[in-house]
Amino acid sequence: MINIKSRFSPLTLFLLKAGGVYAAWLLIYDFFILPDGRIDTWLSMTSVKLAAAGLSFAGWEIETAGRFIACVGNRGVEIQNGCNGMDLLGLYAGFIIAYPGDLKKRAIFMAGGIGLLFIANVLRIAFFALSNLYFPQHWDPVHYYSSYVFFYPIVLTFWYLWTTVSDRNDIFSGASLLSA
Amino acid sequence: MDYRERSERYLFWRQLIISLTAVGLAYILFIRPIQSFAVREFILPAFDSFIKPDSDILTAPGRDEFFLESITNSFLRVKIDVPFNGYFWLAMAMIWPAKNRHFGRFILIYNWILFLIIPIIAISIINGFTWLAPLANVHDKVYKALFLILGVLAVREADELLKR
Repeated sequence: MINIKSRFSPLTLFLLKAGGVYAAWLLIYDFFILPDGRIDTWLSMTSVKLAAAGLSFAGWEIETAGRFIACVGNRGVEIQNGCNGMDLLGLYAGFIIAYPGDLKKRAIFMAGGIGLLFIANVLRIAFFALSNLYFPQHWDPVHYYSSYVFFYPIVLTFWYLWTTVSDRNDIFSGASLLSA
Repeated sequence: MDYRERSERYLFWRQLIISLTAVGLAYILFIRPIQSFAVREFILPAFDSFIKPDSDILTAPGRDEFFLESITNSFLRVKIDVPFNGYFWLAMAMIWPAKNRHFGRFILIYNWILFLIIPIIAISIINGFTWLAPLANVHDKVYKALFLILGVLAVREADELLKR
């Protein structure tokens, strides 16, 4: 029987595990969660409601209908299934699951990161509504780069912090992607 | 933590922020517009020429990518991204200040290999191997995630070395 652990370096094993977890999540998402639609619909509509509540609280006049949100009198934004940050949660979780560390701390990081990504998504939706009010001509770049501004700083920072907290330096020491 | 260690770590983090900002600006202002132009003017028409008139498959343009879609919804929409896209640059923006040659070389080589993988997958799907569609979508997202992971690990390793 082939001993995978001795054949590959800890880094390669970690990358295979992270890639595997993320690939499994994407297949489950594409074939079951997205077609079913319930979780995505809940996430989209809840995020829209929270974004609308936040903007209304801050003094903007907001109208919503299901997954649509708009500043009154302006073009609306529809948060479609598949565009609500759901796949990002799998990306984030894949790393946290694959990188070795204490189970309790891992659970805290997982829940904390996912919670923060959810809040970031609410802020992103609010930003979309405001961008249609103040600079509607820039919708395309605003939409495209929103992930880089709202999601990736959180994902990358939390990944980094998890590597610090878990304190398992054997993953990257030596930094070889080939066998140990 | 002595003064030298603190100043070296400070310099590293400052370099990282400068690298992320500079690469981000270069990507937004130059790289992505060039890639969008190349996709619109050359790459998409080239792939379009492989599609037969009676085919179930059509292409839909994006910005710096395009999509393969089924008219009858027989497979999931496939995103065809160009190599050296934003995820390459984001990962490299983290790897350059960390001076991690292993990770940098791996990402660079993989992007060159993508010049083979992506056309093979796209042309195969166009020629009826539509079962490749979900695998193509998974591959597209997983390799980008792995680039980002290598970027973060490079930063972590550099910071750890500077601490010692």
